[in-house]
Amino acid sequence: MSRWQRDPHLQRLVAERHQGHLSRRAFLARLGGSVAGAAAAGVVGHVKPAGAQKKVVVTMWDTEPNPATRAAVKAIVEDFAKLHKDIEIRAEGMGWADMDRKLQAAMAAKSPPTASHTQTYVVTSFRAKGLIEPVDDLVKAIGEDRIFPSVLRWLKYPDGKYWGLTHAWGADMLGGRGDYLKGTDVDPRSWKTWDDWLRDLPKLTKAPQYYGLSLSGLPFFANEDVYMWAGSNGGSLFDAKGQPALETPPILGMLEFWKKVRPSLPPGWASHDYLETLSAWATGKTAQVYMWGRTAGYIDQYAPPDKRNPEVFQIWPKTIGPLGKAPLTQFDNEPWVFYADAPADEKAAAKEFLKFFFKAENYRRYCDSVPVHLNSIFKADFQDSAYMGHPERKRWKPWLDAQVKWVEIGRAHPLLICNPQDMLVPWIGDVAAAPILADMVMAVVERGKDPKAAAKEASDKISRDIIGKAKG
Amino acid sequence: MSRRRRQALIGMGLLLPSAALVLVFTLFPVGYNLWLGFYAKHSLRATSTWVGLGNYAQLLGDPDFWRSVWLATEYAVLSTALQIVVGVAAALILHQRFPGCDFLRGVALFPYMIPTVIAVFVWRWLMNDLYGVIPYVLGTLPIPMPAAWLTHDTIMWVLIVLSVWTFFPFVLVNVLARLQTIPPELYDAARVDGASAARQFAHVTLPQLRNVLLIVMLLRGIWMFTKFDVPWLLGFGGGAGEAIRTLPVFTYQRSFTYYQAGMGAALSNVMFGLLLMAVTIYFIAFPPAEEANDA
Repeated sequence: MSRWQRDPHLQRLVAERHQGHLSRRAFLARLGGSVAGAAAAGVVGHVKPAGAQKKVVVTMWDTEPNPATRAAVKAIVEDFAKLHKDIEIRAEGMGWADMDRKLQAAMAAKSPPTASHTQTYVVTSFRAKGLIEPVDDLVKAIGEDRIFPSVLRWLKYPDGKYWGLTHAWGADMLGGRGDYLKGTDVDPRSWKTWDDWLRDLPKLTKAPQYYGLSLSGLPFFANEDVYMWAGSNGGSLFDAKGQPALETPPILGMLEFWKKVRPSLPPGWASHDYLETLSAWATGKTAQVYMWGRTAGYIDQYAPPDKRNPEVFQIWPKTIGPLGKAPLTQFDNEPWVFYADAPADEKAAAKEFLKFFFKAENYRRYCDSVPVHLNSIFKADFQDSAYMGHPERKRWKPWLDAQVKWVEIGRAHPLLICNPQDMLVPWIGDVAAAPILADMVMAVVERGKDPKAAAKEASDKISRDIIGKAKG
Repeated sequence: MSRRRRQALIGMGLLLPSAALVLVFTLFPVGYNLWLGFYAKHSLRATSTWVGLGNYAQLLGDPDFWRSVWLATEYAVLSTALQIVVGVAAALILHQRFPGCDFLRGVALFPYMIPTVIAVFVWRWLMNDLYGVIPYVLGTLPIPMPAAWLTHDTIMWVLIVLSVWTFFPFVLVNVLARLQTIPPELYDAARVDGASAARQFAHVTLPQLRNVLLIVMLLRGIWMFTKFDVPWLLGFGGGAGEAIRTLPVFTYQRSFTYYQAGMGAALSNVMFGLLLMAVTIYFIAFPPAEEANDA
């Protein structure tokens, strides 16, 4: 039944008009007045007391944009919404580069998200600038003693506080094509030093069919190789005072080593991005690659069906430089951080959500979305047959074991952190964002510049353009 | 209030919204950018420090800045010149009537219409040293070719060719439109005088195209000098992309990867000043001809 049929006032008006008691003009005028009154009454009638319908809207940005993880996050958010009608979680996934830009714009507008994923160096930089808050209450609520010490290690600062909470962890690995070993006398298990590796790299190169190693030349990824190799050669990018240490022997040795690796790289390596290196490995255009657990997805997508297994896509040992004692790999611990400028009620709601997120039944869904890459932060999960029995974890168990081993020996460090003390360098995030380290590598490897001169130029830039500006 | 005064007030009132929009969206950002160039300001912090001309002084002594100016100039000059050559040649061809010419006129606009990000990523795939079709085909030719094209030595050429492919239709459309308005009597007269096709082009077509070409050259030159998206998407400002770190890319990196908002603003101001100088010189060297000369 339409509204006017239920409204006696409107019915009377229409009847009067039909009977000729009202002129057309008078009918329209009174009808207009009635409708306006009804509309106003409707609006007033729908207003509820302040606070009764107030919903806290929480904005959370993460760096897991792949569809499977998005679906898992969406399901968790929906389940949370059923229990918390007063909280709306807006979870958005994006790539690292997008996150960097979006965060900058949000910070400049003093309108950051409630919480977001970051890197450890970003935590350090943001903490030094007063942009984030500690999350001790969250870590303790989830269970500090349940989390891997190697995860917590990179979240706790000298003030004794936790400044972030890792959503999931991973360790970088050297992947090698087992099928390319046939017909060579190469045994990667024997590799201990850079010299061992350099000896065998040419044997794993059959250009242009395939190359010995694939690296990305783009700054973010070149930074990864710079600090992993520097750390594997006993060096660090910063001295004890946080000043650049690029002119030290371990770093110069790393640059010389890179020059020797160069002939085994694809000729266009300097323009390859990270995902290109993964697809090159999956499709057989390269024998080795530095990679993460998510590469399993690329293998399933691009490799021939009969090769999609860890016997072909093996894990090979990382080696040490002449000045190093142990190889260093990258630890991906990507903590959630909470922004100081976000409203308090949003932060409280976001913490409620994360407590819900880290409950076993929810967190397992999240980790299972990329099973060998989003590794659980809880120690007990690695003893749990349900977690370890996931078909993908069983299938790629050597990959999982390799990551756990890196964590156990304590040689998986977050990006740019060769020594634990580097975590306190307040401008480490700024160094990571700038292309200075990648430029240094390109100057030496691609433009033939003397490593000492290139290292000095990079040091000067860090001192002038980053440390100088930070102090100013 | 007099009628004249009332009309003036109404006129000003009507102009006010437009003037306010220009003020808010054009003059304010430009003024703010000029002001910001005198400060050292971290992109993530609300505070800033007055440095006067410090940012500009630092730029003058920075070899990376001068390199970016050189790369931007090289890119702008070569890509604009080639766009003009290819655009005029294509316009002359499409000015003729032949079967399929209407279809070709539509197809010729295609590179200009597709989004830049798609165009650049397609070219990145085409030029990839491991999978790309173009290096593969070029590799079959009996002449020496680089093993890869997206390298420090050759990426600038890829950028130029890609830019010419993407932007020559702008030249084509403008020149073709002008060609269609040249009176045929001029060509008839030239033919009666025994002028060859080449002489007709040199003495009839080119003079008639002069004004259009001057404007197109100016616009394309400015746009290529300030072009950010194509060099950025092709090289991402690092790796081999270091070799195409033109002034706009350098400016972007100062603002958003070095987090130097003040320096980035100073660089934008320098870019504006350089363009202003170039345009002034351009108009002195090539004053627009009187419209009467065209007909």
